[in-house]
Amino acid sequence: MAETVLSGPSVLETDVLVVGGGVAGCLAALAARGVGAEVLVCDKGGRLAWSGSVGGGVDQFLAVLETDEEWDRPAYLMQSVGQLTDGLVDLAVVERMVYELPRVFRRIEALGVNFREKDAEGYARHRAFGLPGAYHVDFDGKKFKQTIARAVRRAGAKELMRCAIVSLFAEGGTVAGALGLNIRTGELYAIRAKSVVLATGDVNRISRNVADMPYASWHFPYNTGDAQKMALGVGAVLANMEFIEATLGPTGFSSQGTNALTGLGAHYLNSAGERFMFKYDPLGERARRSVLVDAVISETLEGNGPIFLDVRHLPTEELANVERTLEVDRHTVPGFLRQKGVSLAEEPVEISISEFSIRRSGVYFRGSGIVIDEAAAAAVAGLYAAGDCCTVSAGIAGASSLGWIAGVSAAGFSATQAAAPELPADELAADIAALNAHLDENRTGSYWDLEDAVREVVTRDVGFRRSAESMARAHAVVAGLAADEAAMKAADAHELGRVVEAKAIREMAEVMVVAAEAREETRSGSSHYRVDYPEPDERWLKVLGVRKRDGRYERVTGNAEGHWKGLVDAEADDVVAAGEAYGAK
Amino acid sequence: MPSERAHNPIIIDDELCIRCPLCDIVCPGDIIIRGERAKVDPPTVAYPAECWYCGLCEQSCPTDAITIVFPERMIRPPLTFADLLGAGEPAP
Ligand SMILES: Cc1cc2nc3c(=O)[nH]c(=O)nc-3n(C[C@H](O)[C@H](O)[C@H](O)COP(=O)(O)OP(=O)(O)OC[C@H]3O[C@@H](n4cnc5c(N)ncnc54)[C@H](O)[C@@H]3O)c2cc1C
Ligand code: SF4
Ligand code: SF4
Repeated sequence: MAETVLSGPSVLETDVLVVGGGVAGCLAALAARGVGAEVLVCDKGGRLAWSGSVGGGVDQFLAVLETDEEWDRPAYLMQSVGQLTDGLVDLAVVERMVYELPRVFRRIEALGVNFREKDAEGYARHRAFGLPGAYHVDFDGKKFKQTIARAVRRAGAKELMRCAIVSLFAEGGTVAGALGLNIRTGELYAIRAKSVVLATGDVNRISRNVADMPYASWHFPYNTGDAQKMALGVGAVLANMEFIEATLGPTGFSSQGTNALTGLGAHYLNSAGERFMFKYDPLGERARRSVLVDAVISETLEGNGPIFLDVRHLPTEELANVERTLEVDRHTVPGFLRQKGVSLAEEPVEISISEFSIRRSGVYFRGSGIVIDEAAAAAVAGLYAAGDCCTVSAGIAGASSLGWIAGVSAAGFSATQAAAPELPADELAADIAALNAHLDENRTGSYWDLEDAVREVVTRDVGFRRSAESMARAHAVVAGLAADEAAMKAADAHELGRVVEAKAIREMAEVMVVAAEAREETRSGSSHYRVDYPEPDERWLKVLGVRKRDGRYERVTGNAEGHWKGLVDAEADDVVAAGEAYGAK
Repeated sequence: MPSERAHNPIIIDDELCIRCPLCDIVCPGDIIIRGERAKVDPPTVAYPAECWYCGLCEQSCPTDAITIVFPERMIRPPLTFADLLGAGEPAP
């Protein structure tokens, strides 16, 4: 039985391999095709048009348009990035990304995305996320992903769909290619590539939500940190991994919905019916999303929960539109409220916090993930990363801009290589054998159980409130679970894909603890709240990276504003045993 | 998988379904699988517990054959907000 699930590997060759065909991956593919490179895009989804976080649509794009407004220039925006991020970004990389924004916006427009206001000439723009101007363009982005995906196809990039990249290979300090698995058919692909762009998005399914349904999450549950894990394996540094991000949604459904309601002017009420937001921020409900999340957490911890969102004071015509507004962010939210029997026009809706993910810690530009430089290059030659899997993240705009830069860089590197390297045969064979082993009928472990065990301890002990003591226990559990990975059973190719995801989730949880234990301060509210160090500490205005050498984690810190890629070779602060070796301690 | 999570959220009306199979194609999570014989067999919801509740299948279905039904545990969640907050302290 097991023997028949997997077939191949078929050997493929390309100039540029793009891992993950979301926003960043599509723009990387377009850029690389634009300079004539052969491009292969692999994605877990069925079609690029609907794959990834925004396959169902988007509604805002961070744009710098260089109009006459003083704030509408890259240089002006850059002035506030340091303060906004506490300096915890590589400013040179943000600068490169921001300066590319005006051009990327025009390019995407030229692909056929209509950013203009309905029936109007101009753009509808608003201020958001604490940025110093009305940068965000509101638009009907229902077909955003379909439009850029069509362009990728027209440009002549090859697509390998339902293909999860499960291993990344590098030899002698240069990237060599990857191993792909078709999660429907079990076909394997040995892909030789002159360069690789990693663009698999953020890390989800790492903590619990109130429904205890890990896939019914705020963000895209099939982004599980695969690229981050693979990059770590070939020598890259992961930074800002201690920071987490969550949102607020109608209790039971972790979803985007409440953003739109907040935008319309909804009031947050505590159990006594008081509008409490002004206690936490002079802007009240107009404060940044991360501030709102923190305030709701604090209010609940003070015993004033549950918290409600109230829109009854809005004008009747707006109330009539509330459902449509909700639908833009997440198509299914109105149906959920209907099934729950809640009518927003008549009563406040109870809200709750979502699960948390490793993404952007609620702070624009401050990504968590693979450390890159201004060319989007990661640790080894020929390896690039962009989007929510890297350390500079700014929604679809950031993913587009850095994706483009990564594509140009990757194609440039490929042009200097005579041929794609051979894949290391031993490693390839070992990885295929390891996949096959999970299909063995005698395996008894389940990817659900392993992930659940990770989520339980991460939620309780490394979540919105953390301490040295709680994390010490979580660390041992999460690391120890590495010993259970090999026993996970997969009945088919689909389940094998999930088994690979479960391993990535577990390792990302371990890296998160390794990082969070070291940062002995609290920063950005509940993104990293140490009950044993409840205040920010200036000495921690520095970047904390984790890398893997000889099977052990090394923590490295550096000047936050310096060039982060230096962390690849910088002297380690200390070394932490990884996986079973730590768990057995 | 804990059995209480095995709720099927994707209800397909067999009379309306024309086996096209767009729902299989658009699903980003490989949850819905087209029937074996094209145009004959209806799609199956193969991995209901792994659904994102994004609604792409429902929106894309040309005959409105799909209805999304939320499970009881989302309507009346088993955990509370407080359960998710963590204490940052060892559990008792
Ligand atoms: C519902 C929703 C609405 C949003 N709305 C907005 C908005 O209006 N404006 C905004 O700026 N931002 C928005 N965001 C955030 C935005 O979607 C992300 O910041 C952006 O998509 C990041 O791009 P990315 O390419 O890194 O990730 P994604 O676009 O998620 O792409 C990652 C891709 O990688 C694939 N993948 C993952 N692992 C593998 C693997 N191992 N092998 C192969 N493929 C893999 C996935 O299938 C996916 O297609 C929204 C997010 C969500 C979830
Ligand atoms: S999209 Fe609708 S009509 Fe087409 S196969 Fe799915 S359920 Fe049937
Ligand atoms: S709701 Fe989304 S994830 Fe669930 S089956 Fe439909 S398309 Fe797939």
